[in-house]
Amino acid sequence: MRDKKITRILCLFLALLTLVSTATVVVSANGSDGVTDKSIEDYVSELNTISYDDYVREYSAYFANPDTDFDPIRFDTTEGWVFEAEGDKTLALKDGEGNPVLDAEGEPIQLRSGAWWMEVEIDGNSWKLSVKEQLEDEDGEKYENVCITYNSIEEVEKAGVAEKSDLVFLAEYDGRTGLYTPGVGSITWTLNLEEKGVDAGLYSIELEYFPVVTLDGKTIAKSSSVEREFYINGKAPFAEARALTLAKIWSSKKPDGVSTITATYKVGKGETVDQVIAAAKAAGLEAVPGKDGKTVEVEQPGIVTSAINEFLAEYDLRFMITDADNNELRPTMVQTPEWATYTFHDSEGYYSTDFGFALQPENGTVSFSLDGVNESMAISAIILKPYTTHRSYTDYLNMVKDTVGLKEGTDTVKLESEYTFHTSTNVVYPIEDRTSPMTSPADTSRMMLNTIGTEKWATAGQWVEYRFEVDAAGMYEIYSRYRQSYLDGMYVCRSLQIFTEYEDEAAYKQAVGNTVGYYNGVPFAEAAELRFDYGTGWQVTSLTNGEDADNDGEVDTFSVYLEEGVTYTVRLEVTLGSMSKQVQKIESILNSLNEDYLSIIKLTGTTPDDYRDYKFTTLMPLTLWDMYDQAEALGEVSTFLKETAEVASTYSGTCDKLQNLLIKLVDDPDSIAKNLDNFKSYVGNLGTFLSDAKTQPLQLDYLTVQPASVSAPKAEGNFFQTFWHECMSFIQSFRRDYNSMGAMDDGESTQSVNVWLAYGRDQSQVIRNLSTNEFTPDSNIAVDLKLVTGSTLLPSILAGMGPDVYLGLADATVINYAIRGALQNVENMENFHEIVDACFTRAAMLQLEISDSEGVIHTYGLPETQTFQMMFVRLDILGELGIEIPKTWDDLHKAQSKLESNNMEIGITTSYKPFLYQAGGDLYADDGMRINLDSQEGLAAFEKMCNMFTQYSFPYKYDPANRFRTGEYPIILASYTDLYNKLKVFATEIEGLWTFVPIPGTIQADGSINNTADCTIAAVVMISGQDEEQMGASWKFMQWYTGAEAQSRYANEMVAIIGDSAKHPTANREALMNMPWTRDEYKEVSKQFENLAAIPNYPGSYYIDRHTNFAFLAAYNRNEDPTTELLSYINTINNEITRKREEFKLETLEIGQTLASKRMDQAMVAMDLLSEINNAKYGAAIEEALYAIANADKKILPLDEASATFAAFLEYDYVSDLNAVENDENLSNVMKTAKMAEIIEKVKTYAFFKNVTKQTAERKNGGYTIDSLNEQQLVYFVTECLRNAADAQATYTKK
Amino acid sequence: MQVGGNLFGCVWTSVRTLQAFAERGSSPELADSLDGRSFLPGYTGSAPIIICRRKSK
Repeated sequence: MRDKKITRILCLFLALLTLVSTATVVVSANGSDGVTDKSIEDYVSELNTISYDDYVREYSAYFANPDTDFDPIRFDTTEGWVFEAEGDKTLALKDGEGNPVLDAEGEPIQLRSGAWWMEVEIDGNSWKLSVKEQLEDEDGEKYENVCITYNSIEEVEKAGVAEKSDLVFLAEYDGRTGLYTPGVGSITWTLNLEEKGVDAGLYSIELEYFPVVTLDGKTIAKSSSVEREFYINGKAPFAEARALTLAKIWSSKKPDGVSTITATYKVGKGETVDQVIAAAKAAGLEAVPGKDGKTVEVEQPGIVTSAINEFLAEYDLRFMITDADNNELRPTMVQTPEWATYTFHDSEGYYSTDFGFALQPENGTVSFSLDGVNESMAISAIILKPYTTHRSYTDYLNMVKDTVGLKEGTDTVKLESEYTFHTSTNVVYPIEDRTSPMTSPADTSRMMLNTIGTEKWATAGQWVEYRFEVDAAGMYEIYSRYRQSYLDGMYVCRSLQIFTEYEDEAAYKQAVGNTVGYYNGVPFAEAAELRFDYGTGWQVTSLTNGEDADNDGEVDTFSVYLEEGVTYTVRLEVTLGSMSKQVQKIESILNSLNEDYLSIIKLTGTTPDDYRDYKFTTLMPLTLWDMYDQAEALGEVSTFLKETAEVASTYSGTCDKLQNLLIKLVDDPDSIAKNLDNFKSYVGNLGTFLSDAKTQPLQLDYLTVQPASVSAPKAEGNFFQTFWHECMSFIQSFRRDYNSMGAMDDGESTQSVNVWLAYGRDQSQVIRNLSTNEFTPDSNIAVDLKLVTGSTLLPSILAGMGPDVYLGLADATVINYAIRGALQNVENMENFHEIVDACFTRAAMLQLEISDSEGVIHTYGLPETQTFQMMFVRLDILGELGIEIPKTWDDLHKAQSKLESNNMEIGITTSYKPFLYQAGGDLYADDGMRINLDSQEGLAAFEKMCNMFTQYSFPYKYDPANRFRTGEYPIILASYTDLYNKLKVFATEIEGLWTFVPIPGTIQADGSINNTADCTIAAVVMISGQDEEQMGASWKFMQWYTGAEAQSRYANEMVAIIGDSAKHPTANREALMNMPWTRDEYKEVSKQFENLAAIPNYPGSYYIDRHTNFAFLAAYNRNEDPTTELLSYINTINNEITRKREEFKLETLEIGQTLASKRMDQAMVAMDLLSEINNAKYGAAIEEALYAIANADKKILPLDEASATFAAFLEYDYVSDLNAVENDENLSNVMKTAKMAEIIEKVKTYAFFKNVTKQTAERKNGGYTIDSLNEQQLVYFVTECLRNAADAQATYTKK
Repeated sequence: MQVGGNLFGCVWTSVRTLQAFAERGSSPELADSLDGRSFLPGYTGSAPIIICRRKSK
């Protein structure tokens, strides 16, 4: 009994101890910079906000009867604001002059990352920034402490608190004063509603904004739209308000990015330049004589009219940039910002009306906050407008009829889709179509960018604009020739908006006399949901929403009233339109089925026993009931699809299959276990359907504005037209030269670089485009870019027909090519060290370095991509189960136990390298001469990894994307861009429910967390065998391509073309920052990016992974001891490394020998000889060295001091020079390495120099005996041996 | 993208065009199998492809 009591007390004590130690972990975890600083609670509160639908229901009283009878109320945003931003870096506090601020003890004050924030406000008329921190008083009460206040942006910049682009200030944009707000931080306005006579009620909110592109002459804008989160009184009113997207304005320009595109007309016989210019001017175009006097340059018109149409058709002019073969090239898209008005609406396109906000002022005021997510903008006003829904077409028509009558217009204007006035994104650009003779215009002999859109114009919110005027007032039809062959059996929607060039309705009325032709957005409700049906070929349609409201047996079409001489801008914006109801339905079905699936696997696990009775009916009747409900809902979706398309499609098939399966499972629950895999894969198909349905791809050829009585344009040609077109296409296929396409014949390029790459076509086209438009004009070096398969490089190099530069060579392959002499080392090229220092992490560069047989380190190439692991987490599941995002491996184990009890698991990889590097270990020792896995850290790391699988039963083989999507593995460690990109396209149903954070780390002795991950890179390399001049050209290309600007452009273009799923894992620091990540994503990625392990590639490295995997498998499959298994392979690996090094004439070690021991042995032999030569001179130094060697591991007398003593006997004391560089705090690591290499080079010029690394080599490979050295050589030999030994010894004991 | 003329249910195109597409990664295997009989792997159009040979220079 007493024993039991003691045991209980002991247990209690142990339990308390565990709690205390856990608390310590958490406290220390908060202080680290490399781990995520967001908790699961932050995410869950974001996820739990109500939807707009629920909001409308909650405030149904407001929405039922909104007050629409008042004029918009304008609030000036340049005053009455406060800006707050979290300090996400460690801040050494400095005053406005840049001098450190000291605390009471005279120590400089440092504020930890995340522990401080800044507040900016207008104090009276002056701008003021305060740095604040939260402190606790003696009673534990928290209070804000103002650390320092600055009164100008210059002071803030001098103190290093923040950059100007991350602050808030007033500035002039386009003649109007606006408040500049950055893409970070939160700005809050307190609006005095009482003062303006605003009561509680329902309002639409408008923002006058200007997307800022440049700041003080420097471009700060990325290609993504402006994104903000909106809060009223500190709370998001509904989830959708947290994702506001404000479009930017893009225009097509010439490659210089400034000039308007022109068309060149060659004046023919019987014409003069002046005649053509006069004709152009008569049509309303700007035209000037060409430089050669035989051509006319016609500027692309801003406004299209029928006269312009006629002129362009007559003179056959195209406003496109062309290459040497007259192929049309994509114009350069540039941001052309202007003041715009944004009415708060759904950025996903689910709701066709603007958002209504139920405002309830407190003490007569309400606060609006905008939190920065992406991109900066200036704001000049917030406007409260009446919340109105759009009028119906019937009301619109009656209004026109009553005011001016339904008289038909007489003009016809054709708007070629490729000549956009503006677009909201640079993704929507002209595309070639050669499938139909009726495509306007069609030309089989050259590439003609005659249409716009396709899959790139598919995301809600993307719009294109065209501007035109008609020469007669009246009712007009707007026809469009389009192709929607992308969504099988479905239709896509566009919202039509029309704008007039007048300040407001009153101004228009004053000018025109009535307001019938005035539009400011959607003209009538039906235009917000225009429908474009599915078809394999081209179609022509008037404006229609696909419905038959008047029951006349034909779908309704709409016409609009246009005023003569008024400039109209039509905008076609992607929206989900009437499809949104179906999409929401599918989304809800998918969410419910995902939950049902999770409930089932919580009971059965992912591989249920087919023969076991799980008693589903008793244990989860609600799940079964829900499955039945979803089956019914699926039936409705399927019926809708079949009715719409009038035939069954793949999508209706997906619904039918899943519906049948669900009914079968509910009818016979015993079959659930057997059909669980089917269930999962069908739900997956439904997810694909959902992601497809959310996209609204459309290819547009042209729009025509014409009277209803004029016959509609033809969609397809007749038999003869088509036959002729196809025949010509075939014949032209003999003439068209795809290889030279895009080459501009400037006749000035004297040099060219032959570049090969083994990526896809999209990538090659983007690089081709960038190099043609940016690199060649600047450098005058032509780029011959060829897309090849990966295996082509080796044979081509062997045959001596390789390229000059190769893109995307994997790190290990780089070293393999390099040591065989196929690659050119680049460390001596112009600006090498500056580039490397500024752009790349050490982790990336180290993988491209290897020393030659002389012991000199060379670099082969520049890093292009850098991939590493991050931890992906399902926020919904972790939130539901109350699991915190793991920051350490211990946290991960804790999370695992909770997940396991819910039949869920964690996916990790079999890489021991994070454990090794987090513990301060290294994979190699002695510059790659031996493996370091037999060290204490090596064995511990390997055992820890093996134990994850053997003792903790982490799954070994799995499909990460699938398991993550279904929620079976809510935490997965995977390559960051691979899984990110996959989830973006493959698992859209869980969009917003997941995030990625740095991998778990290991707690260090000082309490911080080391979460280093290993990385792999792909490099841009220069093939050897080029002459100096060619090497210079190749280097310039490499430098340009891996540089921040080209990498940012490339990364952004890839996202633009392929979508969010094309995130490019660039190795360039600055480019990574400029990529269109959201603020949170970038924050997490950059944390991991700066915490990567540098693992070099040495000869024989391929043997390591192979044998460590053998050891792992032995431990995993046969329960062998991981340490014993790994140790049994160490000698095998070392032997292979030695064999490979011998092959490349590199220095080797004996088994069991370390470099330090080898060098010390060599030094002792040399010192024996020296003492024989002149003991009086060297005796004391030898004794010192022997003492240092004897106590090498105890470091009583450091070896490097002994080395320095010997160096003093030399003609050139290089060791003191080396030490001076080493201790120079002003030099970066890269510069230090460079300077040291210079000193070593200098040493080689002296007679005493003898290569130490060669001493044990075979004589034919430069080996020599120590007794063959003269006195000075012996002194140098000892110095170098001791120096090497000291360096090697330092790596054995480093932590 | 259509690589030639669509006639009588087949896409007719020249070896030159096909080779260009092969080099651009449309179908790496293509360069080896330009024998006039093979279809173009990776071609997503609905019609089969007939390759027309031009006499080599």
